[in-house]
Amino acid sequence: LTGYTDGRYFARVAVQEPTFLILTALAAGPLHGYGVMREVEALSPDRGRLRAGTLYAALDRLTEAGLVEVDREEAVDGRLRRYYRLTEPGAAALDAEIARMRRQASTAAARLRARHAT
Amino acid sequence: MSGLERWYRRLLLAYPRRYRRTRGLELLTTLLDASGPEQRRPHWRDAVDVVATGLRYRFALPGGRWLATAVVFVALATGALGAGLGARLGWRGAPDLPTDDALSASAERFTPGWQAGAPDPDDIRPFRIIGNWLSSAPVRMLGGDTWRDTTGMVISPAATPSTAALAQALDRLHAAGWRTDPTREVGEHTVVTAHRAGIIMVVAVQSARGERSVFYFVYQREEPRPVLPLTIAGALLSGALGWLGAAALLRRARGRARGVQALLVAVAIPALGLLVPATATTWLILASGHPIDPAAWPPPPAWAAYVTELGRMFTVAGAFLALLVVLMAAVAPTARTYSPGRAP
Repeated sequence: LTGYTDGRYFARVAVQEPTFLILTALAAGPLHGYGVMREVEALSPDRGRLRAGTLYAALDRLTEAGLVEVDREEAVDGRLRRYYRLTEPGAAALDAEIARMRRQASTAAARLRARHAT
Repeated sequence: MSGLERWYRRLLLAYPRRYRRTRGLELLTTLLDASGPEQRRPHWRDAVDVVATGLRYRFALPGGRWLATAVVFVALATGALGAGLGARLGWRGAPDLPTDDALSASAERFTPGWQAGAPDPDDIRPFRIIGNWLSSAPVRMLGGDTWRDTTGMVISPAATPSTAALAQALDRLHAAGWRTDPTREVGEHTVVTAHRAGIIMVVAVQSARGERSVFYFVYQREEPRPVLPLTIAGALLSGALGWLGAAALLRRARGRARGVQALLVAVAIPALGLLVPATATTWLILASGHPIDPAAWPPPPAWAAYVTELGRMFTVAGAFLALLVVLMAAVAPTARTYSPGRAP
């Protein structure tokens, strides 16, 4: 996925389902790792839980691509919690992906309607 | 520290140390947050996910085509060395090849109407065999042959025509306890392969002038069964370790000052260059297979490239420079900022 926003290009990221769900989870506001996992589970209860290793590999890729960035860090009971937020290019990327999915869904629905009409 | 936390800390060892320094505590917090209140051990799916992702980070190729190529080459070089060591280990179980005198004596014994000293005493001698053209060319360039413990050959003139001579030779072989494969024609030679107690003898007979014939006896040790699995295991294990080591070295080098990085590159290039001949030769030997056929002589063993004079000299010099690169990367000062590495 490539895009152009705020006068700069953002990196290419393959938007697979977990990536899309992570970007969607962060769209409402900053979340820490476990918060993202819970939000993804709520968004897509059928796909099963997002595992921690997979989540952080995806967060690393998204951070490297400039779509996500660290919002703040907190230490609670001696444990480190790092919050992530969507960047502007991240929001643009999510927007572009939503538009692409809408187009695909419309095409699929139109073809299904045509099938039922015949 | 709870038992569950200890388990997770152990699993996180799958990640590179630098990654653990920047992400370890955060990952641990998330894993503990996601665990149940009564949970004592990690769920197997979480364990697999953490270990698999950690290993992906360890194996992740560094950015840039040249660095990635360097890591792949290091894996090939260490893989070749591991294949050689594995093959060497496998061949330890093979019987010794008969001595030169014993080879000459058995050639005399199996050659019908053997004529001592004819046509030239120098023609009746054991000598070493080099592999087929694919493997022999680079081996010859690297300094010749030094593995006479794997193959021997005797040329022996017979006083009778080839067809009759071979029939007599087969009778003598069977009487001496050799088991023979069916006879076959290979070019101008009639060939039969005989086996006994871990030794293979390829007998080739060719017609010669004056109703005579010439026998070629090629002796080899039968390849022990463990050779192939040990060669493959050695190549895979050493190749993987080389890949991991090179990737770790590059991650470490990223944190060094630019001057240090330039110095590392300046030493690493000749180090890799010196390892090219033995690496290329070994992979050529491994790719050429083991045909038991006089028309395509069996290739030398997988360690052959490392025992030739030039091959050994180049490899030792390359390994020394590679060690120097590792030491320099370990002790050189760190730059002010560094990136923990790329996501896999």
